[in-house]
Amino acid sequence: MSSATAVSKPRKKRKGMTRKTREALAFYACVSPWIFGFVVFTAVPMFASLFLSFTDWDSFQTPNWVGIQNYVKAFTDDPLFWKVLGHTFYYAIVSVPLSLLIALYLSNLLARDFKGKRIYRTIIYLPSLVPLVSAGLIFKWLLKPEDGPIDAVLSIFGIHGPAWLLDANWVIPAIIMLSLWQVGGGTILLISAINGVPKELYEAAELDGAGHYRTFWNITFPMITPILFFNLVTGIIGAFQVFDQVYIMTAGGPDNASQMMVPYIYNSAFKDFHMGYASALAWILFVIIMVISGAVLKSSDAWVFYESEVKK
Amino acid sequence: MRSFTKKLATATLAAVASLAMVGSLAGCGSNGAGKDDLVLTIWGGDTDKQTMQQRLDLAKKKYPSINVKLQYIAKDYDTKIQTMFSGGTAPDILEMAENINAYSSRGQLADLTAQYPNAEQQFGKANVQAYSYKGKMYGAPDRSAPGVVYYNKDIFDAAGVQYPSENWDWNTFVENTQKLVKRDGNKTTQWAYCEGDWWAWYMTWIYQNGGKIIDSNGKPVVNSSENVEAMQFYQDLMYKYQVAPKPEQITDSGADPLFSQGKLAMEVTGFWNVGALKDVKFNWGVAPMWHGKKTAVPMFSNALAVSSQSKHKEDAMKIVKFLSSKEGQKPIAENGLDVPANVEAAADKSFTEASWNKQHIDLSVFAKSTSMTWAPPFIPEWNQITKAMSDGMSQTWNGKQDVKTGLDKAQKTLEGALKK
Repeated sequence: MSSATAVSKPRKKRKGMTRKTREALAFYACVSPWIFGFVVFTAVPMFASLFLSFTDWDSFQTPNWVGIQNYVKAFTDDPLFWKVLGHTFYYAIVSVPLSLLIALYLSNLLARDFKGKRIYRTIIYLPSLVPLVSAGLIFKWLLKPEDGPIDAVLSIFGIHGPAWLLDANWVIPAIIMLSLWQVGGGTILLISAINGVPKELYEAAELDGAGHYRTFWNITFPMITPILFFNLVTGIIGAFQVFDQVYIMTAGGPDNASQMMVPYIYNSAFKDFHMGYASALAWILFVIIMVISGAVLKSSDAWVFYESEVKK
Repeated sequence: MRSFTKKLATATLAAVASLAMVGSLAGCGSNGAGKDDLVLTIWGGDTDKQTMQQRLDLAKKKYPSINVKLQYIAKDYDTKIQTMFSGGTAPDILEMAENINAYSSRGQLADLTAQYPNAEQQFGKANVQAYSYKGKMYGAPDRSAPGVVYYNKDIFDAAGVQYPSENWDWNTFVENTQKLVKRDGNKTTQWAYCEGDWWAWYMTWIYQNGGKIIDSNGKPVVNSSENVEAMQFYQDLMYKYQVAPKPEQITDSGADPLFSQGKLAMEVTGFWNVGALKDVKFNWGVAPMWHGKKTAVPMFSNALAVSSQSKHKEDAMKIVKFLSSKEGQKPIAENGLDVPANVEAAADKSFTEASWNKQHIDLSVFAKSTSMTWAPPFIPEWNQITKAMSDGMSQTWNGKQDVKTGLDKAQKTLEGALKK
């Protein structure tokens, strides 16, 4: 509804609700499905799992309160916890910056005006449309030792390729490779960000005789930092919660060499029936992601440039 | 004020929508079944679904007053069942397998011992043992096919090797496998034998060598000398004799596809392979498995259990009892789905002379092998056993670690998992 219609009518004092209240009510009525969903499917389960993380719940019997025992067990008495946490960090620290860099590079190439740019953009984005499960299966085939395509290409150059998913040293790099395959989503966002940079800035730079790199570093890059920042935060959160790739490609093997936090939590909950312990692990992961995201958010003042803040 | 009405309408709609959501949530727990219907959950494929429905129709004839609704769970059966139990909406009757004692030990299943006074005659000893916990039976064995040797007759004939039989020992096995392998340069084009990281395979070597995974006191005995010897034998098949593919040589397929492609002389697998081999171009047969120091054959089985949450335990037990009777098991045999767990039903003509057996394979091999099966230790921590074995042994099977180290690792992991 437009406010114009409301203004054009003579104001009658209505009993009870002012317009503001009515609008507020309408607002709450409209968002109520979301609020309901959030409470039922997010907030309640979260608090339930926080409570359960202090119990020995096996998902069937009445939970017994065990205090911080689950947390103590994770940090001191679980032979796999540190290993799995290490793998998860390794994966996140390598895959997130790498994806960002590749997306940045590709978006700079594709943001230009050239013939067939749409086709190229589509091709870059296509892999992101493939469900991760299928992508995992495809990669399993690509990474076949000996006669798989990747090792076959390597052998042309005389390199004897590793047994990728069966080799403890190569299994996480292989999973990182799969994550890079999904770089198209971030690329598309960055392309639109680059195209959103005001043209007059570039014209001014050209007049001042700025070179290609100079233009990139002083104009393009600062202007697209908000999107980079967005990609970085979502990337970090996603990387720490990696599940499908591991579950499909390796199930954490060989000998837990590729086990990550979320599949490990899933295992504890649904294979070992240690629901309480799994809840504790989930909360540990939550705190880790929160601290890292918080640090990145804090750092954003230093490097993320918002035009609106300058205009004030 | 029309706009306000519009808003109100929207608001009402939104409210109704969220209420509808509550309603549908409340409906979640009822499985769409009527109030007094029993719910029975199964996994599997289309044939499993049809067969179970036929059996339930037979049950309905016998007990017209009991309605059983079949709930087929296509994916993630274990996770879904666990969630149903946690949420207090467990099915009345459920299909179960290796996991059964994770449930029975936590008081989630009804004790069926009294219902089956002659259980051992009815199902065979190994089956009853597998589905019992602390002397009580919690699952009525439903289908149980012993593993048998599937062999490619054409390959055997070409190599001039006698067909496999239960009289083979490990030495005969190794000698013959070496005659059955074909190599082209350093590439193997035809394998003699193949298996993978699956309990039924590696544990069978262990049991044939007189070893065990869990001793009679419930303690893990994974790294015993018998077990080391057995696993050494298996590792040698891959790395010393090179008659079975290493994991890296079959990353994209397992034994079953390799066999149906005609690139494998023999494999040990379950009854399902009979259906999978319907249209292959080569001649094949089945035989009982070879023996080591002992006779031991893996058993692939499942059972029906009654949940202790059920509000109709009496009725549920009646149905389960019927489903495991000779009459209730008949469709399993007639549809060629599996071997009925009921010994009488398995020996019946409906199975041994089944109309679907167009290749005329010797189905008596299954009945014969049933008496040779070993009972897997389906302890409540069964999942931890298989995980510990896979974790410990994966690098051994990849050829990067010796057998003893792998078994020691598995032993250590299991000791940790089983200490209460």
